[in-house]
Amino acid sequence: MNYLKKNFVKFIELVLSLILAIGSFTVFAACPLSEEHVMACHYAQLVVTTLGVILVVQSLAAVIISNEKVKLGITLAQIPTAVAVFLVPGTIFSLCMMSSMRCISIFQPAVRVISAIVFVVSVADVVISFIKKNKQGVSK
Amino acid sequence: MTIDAKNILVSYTKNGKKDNTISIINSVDITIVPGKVTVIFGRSGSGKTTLISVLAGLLKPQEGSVLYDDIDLYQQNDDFISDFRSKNIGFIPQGQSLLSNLTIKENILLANNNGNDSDRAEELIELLGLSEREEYLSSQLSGGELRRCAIARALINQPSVVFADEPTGDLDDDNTQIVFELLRQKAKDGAAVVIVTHDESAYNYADIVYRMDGGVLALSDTQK
Amino acid sequence: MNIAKLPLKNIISYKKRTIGLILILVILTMSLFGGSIFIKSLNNGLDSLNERLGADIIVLPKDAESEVDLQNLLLQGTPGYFYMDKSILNDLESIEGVDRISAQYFLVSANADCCSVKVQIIGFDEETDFTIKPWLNESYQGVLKDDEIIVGSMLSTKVGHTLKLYGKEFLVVGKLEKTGTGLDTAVYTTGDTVKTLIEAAEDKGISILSKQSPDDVISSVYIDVKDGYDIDTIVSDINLNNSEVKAVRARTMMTSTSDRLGIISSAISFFVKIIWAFAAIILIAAFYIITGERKKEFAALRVIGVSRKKLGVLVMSEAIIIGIIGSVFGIIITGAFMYSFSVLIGTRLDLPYLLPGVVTTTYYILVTFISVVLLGTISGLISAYRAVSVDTARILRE
Repeated sequence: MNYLKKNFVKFIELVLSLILAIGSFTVFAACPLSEEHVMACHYAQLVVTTLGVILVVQSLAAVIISNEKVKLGITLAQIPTAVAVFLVPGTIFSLCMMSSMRCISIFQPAVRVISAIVFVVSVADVVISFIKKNKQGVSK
Repeated sequence: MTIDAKNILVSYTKNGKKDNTISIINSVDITIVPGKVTVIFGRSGSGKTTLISVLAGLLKPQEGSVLYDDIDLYQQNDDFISDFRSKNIGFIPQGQSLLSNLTIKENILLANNNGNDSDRAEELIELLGLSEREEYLSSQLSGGELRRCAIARALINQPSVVFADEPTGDLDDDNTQIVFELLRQKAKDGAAVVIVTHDESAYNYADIVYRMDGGVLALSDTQK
Repeated sequence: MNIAKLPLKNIISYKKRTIGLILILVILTMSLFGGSIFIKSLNNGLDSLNERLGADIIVLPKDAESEVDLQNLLLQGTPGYFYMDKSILNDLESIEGVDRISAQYFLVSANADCCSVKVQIIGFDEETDFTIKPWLNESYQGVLKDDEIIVGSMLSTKVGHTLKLYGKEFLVVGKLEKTGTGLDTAVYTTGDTVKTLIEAAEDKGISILSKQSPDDVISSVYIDVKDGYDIDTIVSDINLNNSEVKAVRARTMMTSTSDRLGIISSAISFFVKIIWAFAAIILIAAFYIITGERKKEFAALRVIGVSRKKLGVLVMSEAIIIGIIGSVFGIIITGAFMYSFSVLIGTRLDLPYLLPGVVTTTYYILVTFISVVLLGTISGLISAYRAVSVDTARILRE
């Protein structure tokens, strides 16, 4: 219980990463694969899933590892990953032709909203860790 | 500062019915002088706490007046009384009265009216043997430590009047002695100290002794 | 540490209490802000649809589906096409009271490149058109040449790029403003280009017309009636004299849509009101109960010389800070959701759905913020009143 409390933010990051990784090919998957030609959104989806798995591994490591410095390093590394995920649909990869199609109406916003939350949570986590560290340094 | 209370009368009406009035304090006159420890003994329910609440400006009596030198306290508004209390009166309430989300030091400084007199707080913390506990939250302290902290809080502004309500109520003998010694010292320094208690050991520290029973106050015949 | 820092300190240290209160405020904010944006978007959509139709009367082929097809096209962007003989245009022109009249040609692409999705192609007559061109002119002033197209806002193709339709490359010369209607998913070009496309399709073995030549057909006719003439009379005249076509009043066609929209809007605003009523009661009750449980804390503050006034301000400040945090969170969450998923919401609704612009959104943000903070303040005021009425002497005796 205490462990969960201590690593609460890391758990949130883990859950969000899992939602991103699994959701990217299920709930909010991009447009279905057509038989005639493979679309750009499909590749975008593959990249998002891969980055999502990386985020899962990162946050899992942050939960398991107890060394505070390593923890902080991992959380720091999550920030660029989250940014990359955010930029994949639409910016790095161009998506479908019509905004009403799944990849723009569901895939892109879902990926962007989740990655934005991961970004905000990670940044807040890092900032709070730094403040805590400084406080400890002063009082001791 | 000399406190002169005259003809204090406090009563509560039960269920708002006038004929159902319960008298708590009945025509009490009392004068508190600086440099002395005044102890008011009485059983619980005798009206002691109500009396010092009236004296400290926390409860306006139905009748009577409370004068601090020439200031008639209840002729003033709440802002004045509160400010006056903050500056001149140290009140140690019965039981736990610290804010549980603040550390010991923060609790003490909260009562400090001239900004953040950290040095004075440190001094009191040291004096009361709380140095190791100053960054603790009140929930992490023992009863004796809490009481000592409440005393430090009451003394932060160098008050000229100190009211202590059962200050040793939940303390062991050692702590009881520490607390009484401290209040005794405060009186020696020139403050008017009022202790209400049913702890007869307070007798040894008293200059003036009153007994209160059923809302009536009388000078003790075992006067020193 | 001083009294001024106490509200923030309390908010931070009593996490459960703070989170609970903020949660209620976030729900309040989300329902008000989300509800307003949603209703406004529906109204915006209907307005822009009315504006885009821009004609008094629409004439369609008299088969069962054409009117439904046109509605589906307008509301959901479902591509569709139907044809009637071009000669009708001359008959309609001669009717007294007709001010402006223009034909349109509809076609559906078999597929377009990149993503396999059918695209609605709408051809208009450069010379007579009065419904599409005013809208096109907002993004493209020139005259459309052959093999040039203008795309609706939902197509991700950029100006200057080409789009392949029936194996032919077309240059995108303009992109339209978003309307929130099905018209956003269409490609616009001249009637001649549509005819070329029909021929191109037939060359590829895709039969679109059964027997006529592309030159002899049109899909729909838009009529603007002169002032002083009764639109309904002209509609019934057309329907009586021409068995091949069906004339509908543009406004009548929109009635069912605006009815549905009205029902949805009132349902949403009803729910917003219900949520507000409940949440407001819960919030005030929560503050009231919390204040009751904090009596000892308030008494302690009174003892150390905090005046009633300051105590009231302290309790109020806590409520206001929590109100601000709650409403800001709620606005961010709702805004992120409503604006990210607007296309999804629009497509699921099958109704025109157009998000309000920056100014209107800012207005709603302000209204929501003020309302929520005000409610927080009122709850704070009630608690503050309760806090200052604390009988310190009585609590000291307990």
